[in-house]
Amino acid sequence: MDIGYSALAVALIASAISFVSFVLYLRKQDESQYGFARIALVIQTVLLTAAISLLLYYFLIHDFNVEYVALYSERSLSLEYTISALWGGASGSLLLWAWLLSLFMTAIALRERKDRLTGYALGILLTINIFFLSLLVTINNPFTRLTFTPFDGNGLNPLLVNPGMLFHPPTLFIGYAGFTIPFAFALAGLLAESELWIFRVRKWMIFSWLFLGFGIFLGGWWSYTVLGWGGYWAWDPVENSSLVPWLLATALLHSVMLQESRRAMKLWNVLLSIGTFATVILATFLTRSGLISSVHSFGESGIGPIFTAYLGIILAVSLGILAFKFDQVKSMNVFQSATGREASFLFNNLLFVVMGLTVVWGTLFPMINEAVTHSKMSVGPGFYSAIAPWIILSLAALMGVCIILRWGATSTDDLVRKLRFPLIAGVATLPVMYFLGFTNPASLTGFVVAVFAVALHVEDYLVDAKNYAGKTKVGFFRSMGHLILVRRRRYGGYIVHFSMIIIFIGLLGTNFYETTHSVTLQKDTPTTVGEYTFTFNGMTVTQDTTQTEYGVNLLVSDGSFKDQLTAKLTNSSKTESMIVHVGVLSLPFQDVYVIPDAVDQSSATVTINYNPLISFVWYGFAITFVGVLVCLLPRKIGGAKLEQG
Amino acid sequence: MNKVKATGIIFIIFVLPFISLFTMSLAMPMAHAQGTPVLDTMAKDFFCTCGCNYVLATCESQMTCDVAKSLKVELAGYISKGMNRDEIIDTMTGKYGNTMLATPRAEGFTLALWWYPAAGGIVGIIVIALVARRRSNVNWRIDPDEVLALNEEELLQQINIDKSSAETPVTKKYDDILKERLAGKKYDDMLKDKRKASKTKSKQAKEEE
Repeated sequence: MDIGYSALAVALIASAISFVSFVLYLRKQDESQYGFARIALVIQTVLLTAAISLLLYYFLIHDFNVEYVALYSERSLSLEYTISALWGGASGSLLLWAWLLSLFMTAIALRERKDRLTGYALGILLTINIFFLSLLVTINNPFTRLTFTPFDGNGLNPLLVNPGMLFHPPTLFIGYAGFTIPFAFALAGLLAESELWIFRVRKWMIFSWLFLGFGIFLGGWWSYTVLGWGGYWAWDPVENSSLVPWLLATALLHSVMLQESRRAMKLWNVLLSIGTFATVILATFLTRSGLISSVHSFGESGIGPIFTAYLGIILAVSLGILAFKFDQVKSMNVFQSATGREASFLFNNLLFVVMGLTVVWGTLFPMINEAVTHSKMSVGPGFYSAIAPWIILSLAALMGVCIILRWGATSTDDLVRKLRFPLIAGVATLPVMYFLGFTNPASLTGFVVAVFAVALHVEDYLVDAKNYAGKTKVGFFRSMGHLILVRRRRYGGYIVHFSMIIIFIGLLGTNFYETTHSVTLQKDTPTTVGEYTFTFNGMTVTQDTTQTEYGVNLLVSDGSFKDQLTAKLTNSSKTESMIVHVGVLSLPFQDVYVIPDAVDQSSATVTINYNPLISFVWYGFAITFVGVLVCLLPRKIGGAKLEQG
Repeated sequence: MNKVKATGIIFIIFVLPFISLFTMSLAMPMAHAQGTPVLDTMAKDFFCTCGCNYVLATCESQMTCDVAKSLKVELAGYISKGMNRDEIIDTMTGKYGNTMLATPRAEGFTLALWWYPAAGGIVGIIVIALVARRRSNVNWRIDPDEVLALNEEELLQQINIDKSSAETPVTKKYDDILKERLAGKKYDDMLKDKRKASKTKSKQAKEEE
């Protein structure tokens, strides 16, 4: 038996012991049991750390006697991809997930208060990890040894030999593992009859939301800049399944504020927490089951049915607990008017949830259709592209309006006063954008809404800063900085809103103004394609034992600048398939995106796309990161800053 | 009346962009369906049959796929024959099956796919209307940023007051906390003072009893 497998088996035992100790603590109120449970929990984490480190070590020393290592790596794989091969298959992914979850649990055990609420939450989290560990020690053992030792491994799927592979899966997994925490705390809140769960879970929820969002973003970036899977988002079932928990979590991030500040939406928040985690499990099922056709088919394994059963159990148990403790989620009636901020939270939640459920529906519909009509069908990007713009546009408009609404109700005078300048700014956008060449009427509507929403945020910030400066006498510009620290939740949220509008503008640009040209370029002959002139400088050939890479070297120029761009075609000798690596020249307001179709020494046939405003999508995500950091700043930082002021 | 007007303003803000977008979205697919089909657009309407799960446009360019290339040539042939989009879709799905159609048509059971989001939205709006009808006179409220300034004892205090009475007092306003901070008090000291004050108060109340 491999020592790694032993570590997993003992980690499973430690998890079970920790779980039983938490149960004893909760039943008998015995503090010593809590301490014992915590020790067992830390032991479990140490063992899982040892197991994952050992598996990594096997990858690094090319121990192909370990089946998993032989399946997903090879001698010629570079160091970074050898490391990333760790999560190249189902067993490694499960181990990574279990390890991340154990780290989260340890952090919670060490950081949060020792009380019944934390006890219940850790108990629930442990049941989840026991599930993963059970899979790892039974049907998904990553330490299974072969009866022989092959000289070389099978290697990583050529599509995964890419920098994106280093960061996209782990960040997604951090998000996925993190969303077990709101779920566990929501159920713990019911069982412990404590509303404090909503306050305690906040930082974990924001952290997980950021990582899942970042994982999705990295996937989009990888797809766009390297793989060129039809751009940054193809509405592929596996992509969709990662988006759904993020959408539900976004709804939850908003609705918790109503519970925190108004004691409303208690039932809804529990349901959203359950829904977010259930869709994480659904995402794993869709990725691993292979039941629905996907471009992520390399992720398939046999654990799909087990995850389906687990999803059923999760839903049955959590909804059962909710029904049993239903009196705990009775909320106060706090809605005074449709013009109150509370109402805007309801609409925000409606939009996110409808979007999330629509994506789930579209993703699962081929299966449902086959069950009902016994005929096969596909749901492609066209369905989502017909629905999503409505919801995104609604969200952009709501994002602007909601911040100027007062808690309770907003008077007409107040509304008119706050709306007039942003409305003017929005309408003024029309001729400006039209003059700049953005003439599509639907996109112009989007630009108007985007500027309107941003203007509302800016106006609110400036008015707030003015009031703050008046109260504190610190001066207008200093108060602008202080405010962000003092009201970090609001302004962190505003920064995230702003980032989403920036992304929205990027979506408008790429969806309405992308142009495509197919052209054959002769060597050293400048050819003008649309706005730029392209010169094919020749082909470079790089060969190693596993692949041959054909580089298409282009000089891109217009009157004012010249730049080099290289797109590549890689012929993998193992899979005997040609893989495209697009060439991207990123300019401030537009990307020149070159997809090589065929190349020889004298000519290159390429597809050239001009993607306007695509950089806004990337900038937007960077700004999201800043906004989330502001939201997560510890209280003391703001206090200290203020005292200096 | 004031509230009605304010609701009206918000309604208009939301409705205006939608009327324009809706009109345009109606106009565009009609033009798309009735006008001459464009090869690049139609190559996004079908999945490649090579098993890659990409639409033709992507598969051809990303995988340098011969199947996608030949299907695109076939599409170009239909377009040059003067067939419209619907006729081309009928011909292609008749030949290769419905699974290659990337955007399912709204007919038969597939209507459930297309109507689901609208049905979800309508149900949601009805639920919101029902929730919002349960109007309240509770004046208590606290800004979410003020929540961040409270520790768990204070939060519990809030929750307990909230449970015992519908008319709950307003938490110490954030402006007051701010003033105290600006007066030079550290946050932890402020909390200590507050706890001390509440302990003294409860002691006094006990003594009075």
